[in-house]
Amino acid sequence: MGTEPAEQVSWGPYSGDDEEAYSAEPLPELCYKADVQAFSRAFQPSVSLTVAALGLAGNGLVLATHLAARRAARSPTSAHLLQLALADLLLALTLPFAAAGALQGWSLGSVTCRAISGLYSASFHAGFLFLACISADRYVAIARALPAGPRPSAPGRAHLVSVIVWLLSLLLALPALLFSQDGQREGQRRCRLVFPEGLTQTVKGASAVAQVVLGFALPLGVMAACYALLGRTLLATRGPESRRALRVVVALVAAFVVLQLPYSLALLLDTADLLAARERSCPASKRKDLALLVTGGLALARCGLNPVLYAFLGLRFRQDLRRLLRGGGCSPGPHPRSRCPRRPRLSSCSAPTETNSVSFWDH
Amino acid sequence: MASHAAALLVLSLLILWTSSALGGANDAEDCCLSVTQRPIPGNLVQGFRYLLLKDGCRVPAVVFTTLRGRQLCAPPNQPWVVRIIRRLQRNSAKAKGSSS
Repeated sequence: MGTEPAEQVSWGPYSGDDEEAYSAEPLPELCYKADVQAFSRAFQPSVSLTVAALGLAGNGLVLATHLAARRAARSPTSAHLLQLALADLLLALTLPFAAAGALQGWSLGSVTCRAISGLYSASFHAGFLFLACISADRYVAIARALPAGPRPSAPGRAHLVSVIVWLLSLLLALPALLFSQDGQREGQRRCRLVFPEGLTQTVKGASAVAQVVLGFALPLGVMAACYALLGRTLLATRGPESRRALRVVVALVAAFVVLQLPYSLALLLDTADLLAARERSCPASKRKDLALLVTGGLALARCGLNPVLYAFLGLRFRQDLRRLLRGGGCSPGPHPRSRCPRRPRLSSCSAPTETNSVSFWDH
Repeated sequence: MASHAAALLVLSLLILWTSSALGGANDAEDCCLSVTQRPIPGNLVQGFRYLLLKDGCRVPAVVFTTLRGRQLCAPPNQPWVVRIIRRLQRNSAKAKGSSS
């Protein structure tokens, strides 16, 4: 196990000659990935830092605006948007550590490695779970606005769902929390997830399947179903507001598919390889690594773009932000024209006043 | 809301069964993609090292460095591999003993 690496001589280019003579087929050789590693060392930190900067600024702004608006009665969507911003903010906080680790090796010890990996994993999962929650909330909000819609649920429900999502995300992060290691290889310390020997391949395969199924297929299914139903309702409703709302729906779904689909497909191919124990050639393996790397960066970008897609597109948010920037919070006292709008009552979908028809998007 | 909660429940059960691992990102490490099942003649080998799962590799392997500097991948638990390793260790111990 802990054997010293053998003395290394300088490696010339491979020459398949007399050593090969005893065997007709080429023997499996070590696959060197120096070029992929070089690209990764440049690509990963720059993506991480960019997303971190975007994520910290955007999600910080969302949180600050929510706090400044001090809105007491929040709709479920509003509560979940806040949680989404929180999850993305936490994710963005871990990215500089990942970037530093990729650049100069992990120097913060095993405990920090576990904590950061766990936080990364938990916040990533919380993020996509809240995305699914938001789509469901929006559908429910629309359905409830219809005459025959379901009756309003208790206001505490959204918070209960948030707590469940966070607990779930922590559970999901358990492998990262438990098995992340600060290991050394070729002089560089790395913080990475290493499953205990024995169950490794099975668990790794299962976890990869879980990532594709839960990280993409399920949220996409929930979102597609909810937004399709929503879109149908909106299409039936005439008016500029509903057209605007439709545009937002299309943007959200398109962004999710464009940012998440490539990574999920790459992960799916990788999983198929893993489960089928398929052997790839070295060039093919390098292409796969490259694909995972680039699409992974794209998937990460979702965390930086969520504030733009989910909060900034909302009229309500922009109003709150303008107020925040002007320096005036909204006063709780009596006000001629109340600047702290209460939770809108959705009496009818087709009533084209601003509060009513756009309120699904602006919490 | 009920279907929402049901979906979350199913989700949690699935997750509990599979337990996801995002931190295990692909690091593009130098690794063996497969190992030879045919024994390598021991006299071609001048050195070895392990590349195991803990090194971020999917296929645990012993990498034999041949006299010509090629790096061949072998399964760590095969008797012929263990034999070559033992011989290499003996040789290096002998070399150390004679040099000092």
